[in-house]
Amino acid sequence: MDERLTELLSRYLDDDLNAAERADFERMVETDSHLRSELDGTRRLRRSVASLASAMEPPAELNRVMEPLRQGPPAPKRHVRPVYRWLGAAAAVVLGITVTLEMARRNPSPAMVEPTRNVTANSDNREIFELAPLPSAVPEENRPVGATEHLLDEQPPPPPAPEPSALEVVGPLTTDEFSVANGRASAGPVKEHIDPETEVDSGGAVPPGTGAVLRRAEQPSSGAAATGKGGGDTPSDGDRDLSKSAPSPAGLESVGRFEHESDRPKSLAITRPTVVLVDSVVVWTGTTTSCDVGRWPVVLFLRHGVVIDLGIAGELGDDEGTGVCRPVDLVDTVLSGVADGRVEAVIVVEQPQ
Amino acid sequence: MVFDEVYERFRRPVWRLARRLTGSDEEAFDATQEIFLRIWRGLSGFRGEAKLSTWVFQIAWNYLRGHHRRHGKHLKAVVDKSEEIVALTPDPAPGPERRAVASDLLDRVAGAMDALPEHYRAVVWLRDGEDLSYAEIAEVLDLPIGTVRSRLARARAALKEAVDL
Repeated sequence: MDERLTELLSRYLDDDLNAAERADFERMVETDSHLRSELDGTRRLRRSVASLASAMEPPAELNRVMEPLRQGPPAPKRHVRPVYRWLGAAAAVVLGITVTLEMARRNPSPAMVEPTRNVTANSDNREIFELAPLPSAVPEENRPVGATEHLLDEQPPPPPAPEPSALEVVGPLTTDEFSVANGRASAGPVKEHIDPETEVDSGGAVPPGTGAVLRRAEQPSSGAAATGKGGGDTPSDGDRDLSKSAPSPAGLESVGRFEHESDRPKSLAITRPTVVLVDSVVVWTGTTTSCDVGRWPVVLFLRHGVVIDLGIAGELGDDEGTGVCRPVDLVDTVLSGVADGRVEAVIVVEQPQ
Repeated sequence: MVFDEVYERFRRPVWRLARRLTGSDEEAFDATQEIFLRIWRGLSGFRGEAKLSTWVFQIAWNYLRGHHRRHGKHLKAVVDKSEEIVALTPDPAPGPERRAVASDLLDRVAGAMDALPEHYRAVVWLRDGEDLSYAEIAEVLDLPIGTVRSRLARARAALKEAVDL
């Protein structure tokens, strides 16, 4: 029997044919004894599968082992109304800009020039870029959002001691803005990263398209932190090596290197607990998988808040997976507050402390 | 939605799917626990945009797919490049479940089911075993509905031939 007829037969039994198709098929059945026999056989098969299902009963032991979960509901999430979340984010942005400007004022550098996409790589293979002059040479229209005349022209009050995480800058990635060349990643524009400690709703910590991270250079006295003001012109890296801190020879630079294909770190066969985070949110933990410790740009496919598939380097992962962890280990994770569909994100694989 | 209600409603369907796709009681037992743990973790985020049954089966399928590869099992079906099932070779050693099934026909159907590639097995099972609609199966397996139709037809034809119906 040809495949078209096989499918018609199958759909007929499932009442999936329209009226015309159904009438045509029934006429064929009346005149074709072989087709009639096929139809009867498939009917018996369907009944057999249904009988098989009804005969299967889970072992009683299952109820016993599931009892702890049945006793209580999942731990309730603390909920923050979106408006407060945005207010918090805005406050973080203003704080970051204020700290940055103050640091730039206190540590002016003659080398400060306009931000540029011309990224240079030094011998340490780090991306280095230079900062725009601040404050007086900055045209009004280019001044950072939230940077008032008071902040720029008057002596500001002493800033609070900056928390390292408050100066971490995250660049939201879009397809257009994210680029990989020579094993290095660039992205922009940037915005302040919200300290995960302040996030009480995990959903808020996973903005779609969040990507590369810039960190303030570890320069105790003369460094200047970048806010990435100026939008998409700020280069940044796509990787943060979580296992070691990178010393900074320059005033500001992106930290680490984008690990790409052959440039990946040696894979670690981890048999102790491993934590996988998507932008600071723990999405998966495991004990018996092999993960590469590092930071990986990925594409998540969400449906109803559940990760149903995960692509690495833009490709749908298969069950075996490469690079991060096996994608199959990462699906089914729930990312509350993230829109369904295709979501670009960064997965951080780190070994727990 | 209270987890206990979800568990009561779906413990049989989830276990059956796990049993069908893993091929053993022991692995199905472990898999069912893991699936319900994931359901428990995700339940607070379930927004009701899908049917609960679709959501539960989706989590189950996402956990169970690729099971044979993770556990070093080999397909017992020959599938050509067009995804046509060329031959089925049922497992000759019936497991405890099949020994308990009185009917010889059910025994043969179970053996042939276990020999199907898992994405065919899942389609047949969700349709004929769990009575999901084509649209629901498409959503659970994340397939176009046309693919569901064609896979179901091929799988049924292969099963029917294997059990000589």
